[in-house]
Amino acid sequence: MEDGGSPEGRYTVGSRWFGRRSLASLLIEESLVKCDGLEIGGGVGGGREKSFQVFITNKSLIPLLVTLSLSNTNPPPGHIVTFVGFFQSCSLMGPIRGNKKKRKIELKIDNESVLASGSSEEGSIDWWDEFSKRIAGSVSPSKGLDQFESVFKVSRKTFNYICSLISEPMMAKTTNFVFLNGKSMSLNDQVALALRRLSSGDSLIGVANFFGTNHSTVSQVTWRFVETLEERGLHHLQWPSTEQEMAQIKSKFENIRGLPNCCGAIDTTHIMMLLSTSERTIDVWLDRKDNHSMILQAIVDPDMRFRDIVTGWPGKMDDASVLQGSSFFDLAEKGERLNGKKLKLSEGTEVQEYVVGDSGFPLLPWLITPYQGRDLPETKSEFNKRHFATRLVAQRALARLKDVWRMIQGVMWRPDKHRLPRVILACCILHNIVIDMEDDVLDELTLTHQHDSGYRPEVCETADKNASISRDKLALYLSGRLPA
Amino acid sequence: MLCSKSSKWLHRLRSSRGFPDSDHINLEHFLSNSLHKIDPQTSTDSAPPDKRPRLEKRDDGEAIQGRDMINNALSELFQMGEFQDKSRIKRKKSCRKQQCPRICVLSTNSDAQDVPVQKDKDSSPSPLPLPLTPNNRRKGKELNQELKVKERVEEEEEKCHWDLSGYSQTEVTVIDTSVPSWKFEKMLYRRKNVWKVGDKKGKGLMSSDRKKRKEILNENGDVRKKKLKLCSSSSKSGDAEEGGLKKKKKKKRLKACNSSKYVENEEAIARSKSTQGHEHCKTMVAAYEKKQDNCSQVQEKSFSLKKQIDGGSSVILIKSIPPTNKKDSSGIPKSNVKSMQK
Repeated sequence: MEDGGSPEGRYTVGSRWFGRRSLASLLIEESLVKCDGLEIGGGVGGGREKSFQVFITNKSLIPLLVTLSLSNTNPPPGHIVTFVGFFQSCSLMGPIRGNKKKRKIELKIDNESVLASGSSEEGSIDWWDEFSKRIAGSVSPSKGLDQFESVFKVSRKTFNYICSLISEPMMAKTTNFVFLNGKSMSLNDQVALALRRLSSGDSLIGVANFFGTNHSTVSQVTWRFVETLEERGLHHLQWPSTEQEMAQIKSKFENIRGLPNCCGAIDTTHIMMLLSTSERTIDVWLDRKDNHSMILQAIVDPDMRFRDIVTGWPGKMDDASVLQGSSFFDLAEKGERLNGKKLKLSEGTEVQEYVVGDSGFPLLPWLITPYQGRDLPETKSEFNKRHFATRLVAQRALARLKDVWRMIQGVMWRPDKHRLPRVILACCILHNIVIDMEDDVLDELTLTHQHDSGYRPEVCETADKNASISRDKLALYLSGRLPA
Repeated sequence: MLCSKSSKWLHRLRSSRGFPDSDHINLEHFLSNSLHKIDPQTSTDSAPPDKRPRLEKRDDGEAIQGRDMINNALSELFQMGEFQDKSRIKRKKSCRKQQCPRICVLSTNSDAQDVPVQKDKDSSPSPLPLPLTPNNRRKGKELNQELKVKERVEEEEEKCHWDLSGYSQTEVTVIDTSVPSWKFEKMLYRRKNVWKVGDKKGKGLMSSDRKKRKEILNENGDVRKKKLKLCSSSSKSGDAEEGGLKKKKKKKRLKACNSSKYVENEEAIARSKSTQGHEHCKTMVAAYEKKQDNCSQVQEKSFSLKKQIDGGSSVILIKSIPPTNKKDSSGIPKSNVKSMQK
């Protein structure tokens, strides 16, 4: 159970945790309840048939979606009822379609706590019913997406997960946010508002009008959401921690175009800003395309999941400088990253773990860049093609990030430069959550790799000799010319 | 302008030269009073013969000499490069001007061979690292050579601090998910293509972060870390202030703190690979120093320029690569591209 696998067997949930309250309301209010080594991370009602979707995280913080349904639809008071549920793994290892493990579990629960649950479920349903009526006409469903997904860019399942993930800290603070009509905002309202703000690219006033509140509320709720997501969701954005996880990543990269032992693709993008007149004189933010921008450097896995990000540096800095200033660089240089076992290509030829990046990065033993120059020999040009195809995931990930979370896509109007990096981080976490949840929204999005249109590629001529040799060996290996 | 009573530079100039430092003195007064203290022989001998003999013959020679002296001082101050007066005064000033040049550039093998020549050539009394002066920065072709010299200067005076005057400062919030404390307040110093990063302490951090940090400290019970924290904050305030005794004292204190942290000598510290708390003082490692021998002739480029700056001084140099190192893929120099894009 603690290793990230699905729990098995029969679990009894004691009444001391649930008391006389309904399951659903309790799960929302107390988002972390111990349960036989598991933590129930919150839940939201899933329908009038008295079923629940509950998100449970084990100690490795691997989210598991559990659908619970009440076996006895009308249990007498005091009776022990059984919830039958299915665990659907939403592990951080990423979606492996067709390999979903569904295991049957049973939860026994004090009947008293169940009786009132119906209203809570219905309340949850009512939220969207009511909300969709409110916004009727203002949003037309996009191609392939239902209205919910069009509005929030996530599926209902992912929305529920996000609510459960952040419910406790989000609702713990005393500030009460209200609509213009004086009605206070529920957790769903706040999450919806923040997601809308981050995903629509609309202005504060635009989002405020959409929700029927004022723009300062939009700003405050969004910022609280960002802070809370950082606090509770950062485990969705982390470097692979186990060998098994890394092995899967390598395997997937190798499946793309054959690059062996590759652990990630690195790329950099610019988040553009329109600064105030006084700030425009600070040319440190002025990038090579004469835009004011902030840099986001990301290392991406083959599922387009961000594994490491660095952001906040001004646009004037080039890719190599940002890399050099990053902790990832330090760790890799010290042999504390990309230090897994070397892969034997042939007798006496090994290749260490590495990431791939474009020519804006230096060629290093752990960062392989393409060959530069024109009229390259076939071996090298073939290597470059494979290299490009492999690192395309990073470009696509950044393109999708900007395409879905449009707040950071366009030119931001006078952003707070100390808050913007954190908004970017929140968007990256949301991007990863959507992938981790195997959200169907992903399938409907078109793939593009244009995330920094208009920026010419940089060229960094720095190269390490050993890395150069490794790249030559890889090129030979990929062309089948490496002597055995 | 020169006669402005409240000129800061004049005030500093006076105090550095040991001239009477009075608010009631104007430039004229200053010149007439102070000239007699300077040995005229020294001034005359050291002046470039092709420039000033005519002036010295004039009746008001004294005043002219005074002006020359001021010009010399100004040329030193702003690196105009016209005056080569190697007077006693200048030597004195040199100490004030650039006590601790801290530029770090790693050279390649071929670079290293050239260094002694360059050093001899440029071993003028000017203590300023050349690339820091506007004059030298204009000379793009000479930049490489200057960097080589800079490297040597840096090596010799590694124990000293960066002179951050003339650097633009930008406060940035940086997210870096590679470390558990993923959010940092940094002070970014920039001068042309040279970037330095310093920690920004005790400001702008969320209360929760402070709590976390406190918790960490308390949990570890690590007195050493606490000391470091103090060091960092003192470093920051030291950077923020204009020179002076206060700054020196703080830097001394900083050094003391560092020595309490590291037992090894400073050279070892610079190459230390021990993991430091990122928020306290980033270990700055000359990442490619060790690998330089391996570099091929074709690909020789100095790259990783991180260097320990006085142990705990939380300022690092990110980059001082000549602009030619980064260019557009089309091979067009960056500056040209920029103008084209406009």
